[in-house]
Amino acid sequence: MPPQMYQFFNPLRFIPEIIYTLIIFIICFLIYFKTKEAYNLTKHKGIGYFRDAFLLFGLAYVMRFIFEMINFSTKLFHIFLPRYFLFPLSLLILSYLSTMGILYLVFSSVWKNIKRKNFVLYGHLTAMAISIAIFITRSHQTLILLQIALLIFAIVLNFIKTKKTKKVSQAIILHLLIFIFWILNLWMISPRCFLPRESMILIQTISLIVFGVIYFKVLKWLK
Amino acid sequence: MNKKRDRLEVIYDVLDIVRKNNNSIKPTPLLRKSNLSSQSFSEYLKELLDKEFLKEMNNKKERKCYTLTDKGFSYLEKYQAIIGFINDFEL
Repeated sequence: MPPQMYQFFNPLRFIPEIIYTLIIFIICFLIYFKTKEAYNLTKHKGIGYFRDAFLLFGLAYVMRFIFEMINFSTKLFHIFLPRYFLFPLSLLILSYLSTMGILYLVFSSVWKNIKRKNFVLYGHLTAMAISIAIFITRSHQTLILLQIALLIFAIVLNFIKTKKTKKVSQAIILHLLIFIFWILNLWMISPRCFLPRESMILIQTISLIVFGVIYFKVLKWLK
Repeated sequence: MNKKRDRLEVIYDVLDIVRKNNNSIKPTPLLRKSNLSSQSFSEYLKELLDKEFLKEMNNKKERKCYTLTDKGFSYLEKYQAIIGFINDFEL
């Protein structure tokens, strides 16, 4: 392949990335559809937030892939639309989907402890505020920092919850791992990421294992 | 002292009473057996009829009674698995 063709897409980066994104997307959608009947029968809020979180994470991983392609393929997307327009637009959608995914997963485990009625609306407003701030600043790093702040917020909320029950559950650990690996995945597509390719593959493999464990835990109950 | 039943458990109990009564029960025995206040019972009954877990019918004596729908049977069948899922993920 001539070197200029790598500007369109680098197969060494593109092929593993598309396979990885596709697997995560399929797992997220399987979780979403496997929990559909349980939600329709019970209208249980926790199940609702849980399945919405995975729907949003599935879409966020697809958006992450699109963002990465826009970021690294200097010419490919320039053919259809100007890159200076596509870059912030993809960052805006990516910020909103991933922030809402994180918040919905937090809501799924703490909704019973939240006394405020409109907390979902506040969640959407927070995600919108973050997305607009990222769109204006066009800063991928700011999104990572804000989502680390959300991760700390999630840890504090779960700490308050587990303080009463005095045990940290496997589910909460899996939720936190999803957040941590999402932030690592986000950092990996940053131009400032200094990790070697092998470390990235290791992070992606662990991410797949975390999503896989959650899927099999869902499948154990809802076949 | 018994702990307060949550919403899903109350729904399960009401549907189970109907099933155990040969899938046909009049309102008064259902209220008595469900161990709910009349106000709570009315609210749950309305919810179960709205969600089509139960349907209202007339028995042979032309008295109003309730029977389970397919959705009601499905809820009873899947209840344990759903509760297991909710507890496992702490939802």
